Amino acid sequence: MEKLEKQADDALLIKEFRQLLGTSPEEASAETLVGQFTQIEDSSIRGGRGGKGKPNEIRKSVDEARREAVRIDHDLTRLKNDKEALLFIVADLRVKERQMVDKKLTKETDYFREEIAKALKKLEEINGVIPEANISEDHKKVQKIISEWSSGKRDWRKENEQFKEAEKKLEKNPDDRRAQGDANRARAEMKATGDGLERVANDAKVIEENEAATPAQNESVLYTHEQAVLDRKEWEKRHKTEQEEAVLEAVPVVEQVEVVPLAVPIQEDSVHTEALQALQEEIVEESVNPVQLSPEVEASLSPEQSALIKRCRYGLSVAEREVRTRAERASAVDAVRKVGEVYNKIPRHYKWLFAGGLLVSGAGAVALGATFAVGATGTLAVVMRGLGGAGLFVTFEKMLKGAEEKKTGLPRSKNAELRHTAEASALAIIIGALLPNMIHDTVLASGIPDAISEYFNSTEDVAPPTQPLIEEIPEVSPSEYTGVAEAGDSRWSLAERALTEGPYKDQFNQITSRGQRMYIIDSIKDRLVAGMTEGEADTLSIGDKIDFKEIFNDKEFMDNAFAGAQGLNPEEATSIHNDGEALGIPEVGLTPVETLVSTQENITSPENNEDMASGQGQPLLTEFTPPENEVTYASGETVSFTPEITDTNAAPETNIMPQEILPNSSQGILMEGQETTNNPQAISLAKKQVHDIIESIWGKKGGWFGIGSSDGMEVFSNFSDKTVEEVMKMDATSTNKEVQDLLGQAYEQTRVKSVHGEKVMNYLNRATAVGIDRFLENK
Amino acid sequence: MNNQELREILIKELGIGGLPEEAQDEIVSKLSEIILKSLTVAIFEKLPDNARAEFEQIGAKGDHALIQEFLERNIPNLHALMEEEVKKTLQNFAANEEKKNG
Repeated sequence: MEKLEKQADDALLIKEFRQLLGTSPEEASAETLVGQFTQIEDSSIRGGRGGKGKPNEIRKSVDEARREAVRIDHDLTRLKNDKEALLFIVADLRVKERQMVDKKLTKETDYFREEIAKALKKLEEINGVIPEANISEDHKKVQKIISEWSSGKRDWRKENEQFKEAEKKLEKNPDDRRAQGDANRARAEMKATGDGLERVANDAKVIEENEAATPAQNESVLYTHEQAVLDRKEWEKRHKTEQEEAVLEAVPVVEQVEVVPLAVPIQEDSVHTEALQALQEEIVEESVNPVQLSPEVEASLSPEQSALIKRCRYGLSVAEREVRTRAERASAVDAVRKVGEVYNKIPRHYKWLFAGGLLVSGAGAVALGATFAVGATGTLAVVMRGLGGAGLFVTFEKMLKGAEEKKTGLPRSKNAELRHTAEASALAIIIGALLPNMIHDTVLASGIPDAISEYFNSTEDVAPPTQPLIEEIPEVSPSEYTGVAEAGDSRWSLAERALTEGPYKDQFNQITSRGQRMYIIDSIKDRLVAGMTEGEADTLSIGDKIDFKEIFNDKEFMDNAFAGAQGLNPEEATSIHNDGEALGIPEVGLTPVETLVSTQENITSPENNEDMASGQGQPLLTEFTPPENEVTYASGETVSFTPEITDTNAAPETNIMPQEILPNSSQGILMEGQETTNNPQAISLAKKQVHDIIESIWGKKGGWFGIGSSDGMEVFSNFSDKTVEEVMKMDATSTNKEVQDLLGQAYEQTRVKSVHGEKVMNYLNRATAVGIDRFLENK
Repeated sequence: MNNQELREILIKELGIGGLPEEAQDEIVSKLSEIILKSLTVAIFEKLPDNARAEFEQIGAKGDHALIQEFLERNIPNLHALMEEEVKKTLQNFAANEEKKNG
């Protein structure tokens, strides 16, 4: 091994000395060269050509000198980077010093002045080492940073005042378009200024990145990256004092938000440490500008409020920093900026809706309650369509709807509709911001129309929009139809007649599924009674006229109604059909095939809805065997599943339903042996009531915004397709027992019996509807 | 449901009921902005480089159907992605807000 190494060394030396001698390999043999080399080596011992020293030693010295040169170069780079960081720190300390002076905080002012002096001293030391240091250039850099920072802050305050003033005017008069323009302009300017301030704050980050990127520079002299790292650590060890390390440990927040920590040595466990920490927090909060308040509001905050705002600011700062870091990695900084600009054009009061929708999107509707989900959808749809761009909004909303229904095979729920509304609007804003050509025809491009402002600022309960607010929605020709109530008519039957005879008759009459037809009729009926009180909805006299023009001219609404019907799967359609049958809804306009389906089969099919629809289902009561169809409820009472009608006014033992809808009569309508009602209002209220009860039992709200929440209906879905008998015979495990108790309570409060083969959800809805109907009849 | 009702629900959920209205407005506004930006980044993260060029070309045409087709092709689980981003931002905000508190 040693021999090999020796040979390698010799070969290297031979090569070098050939060069020294100016001899090509062809001109000299190895022996000759070795001879010449020996002479040179000997002369080198005496100092080389005229000098002393062995070649090996010289070579080692040269290598060492090269390594040292690299180290020095590396140290110089480090010093330069440290100098840049110090310049930033000096600038920042000067800004803070001015703030302390403004606030007349003498002690803190003195502290910052001391720190400035220390930083300047350190700067001088570095300048003494760096050959090309130019102090006046340094001062210029510091001054530039200070000027930018101070000027930015001043501008931002001014713009903020302008914005607040405009917002106040808008609150008094939402139609003040000039104030709206002022507010939008001020908002955009504040955003630009805030970005400028961030750039200044980010200078340190850039410096730090440059520093970290310094590579090992000369591998030919075996100065490896590992060695460079070791050298760097050694350098840091030499230069960083214990106090510095203590400070860095004391303010971990600095690293998290990527603001360069102060490298100025300060005394531990002193007022300085606290001041420094406060300073760092202030830098964090101001550098990302998350929650800026007017001076009056800021001054009026209680200590608790100040603490809460600080926490929120911090949470927002970190969240925003993370987004920015990701944006840089994904080369999406410009895209994010554009989206931010568009978002900041949105007036404040619209943002509440936007926020609501987004939060529900992420946390699930359970977080904000089913009432919110149902009520907010209409409002969100109107506003978001306007904000996000009509065409884009509609496109994305349909896209999300289609994906959901394809995935689940079911019509979209109200909660899903709300989520999609918010998501579609967010997508529309994003795409609209990135691809301006996409929103040429939208409200976003031309300003918020008065119609939306008026609508949104209304304190009235939200109802579906009565007029299309967006230009993009295709114009429809006026479609007039007025229904006149005759004996036996309800709003439901008038809606059906309007569909079969009115402007949509061709489209409607092509639909052969009764379930699909009922879905559309029900949509129209719901629209008719929207905003009515219970009494008004129930009141209809012979000769009353109902104008359908507004509904039929709402093309989007009609399209959605038809699309929703078409999206029903067979099971859903059959279920709706069965509900209608159970309610005794007349068979107007149905094809003969559909009317052949027997009422009894449809209501009481024990297992298979498809069988029911095809007329193949088993008759409900023919297989009834009392001993096998008795269940014992929580109260200990045994009840058989029987078509027998029991009229009872027994008082409920447990209040599963609110007191105001407890049954106090038995005026339900009998149909094929089961007690039910045809009161649509009672049916509607019952469905909501059952839904809410299920959510209250199995829904879990979770923590922040419902994160970790669960959907009660999802839990219950394991049971909803089972029959009452099946569930009551299950082992009483925790969830089974809860469902059994729920059924028992429904019976105890309504005294409505389940029929043989009746599914759990059907029974709960029916029994509750009967109970509500009794109450309404007797109120 | 009206604007005031919605506002009250959100304030309760965010736990900022004790703050002045101006502060509530600012916090809600900023939170929504961050969520929106986060969604933007998430979309870009999912798009391969060649798809970005295509995205801009589609934008120039202004065709909604094309952009829909583009998104469905490149980000098939868009809904899940959006939900995830909202959750992530909220959790990030809440965790750090609590951390600061602690």
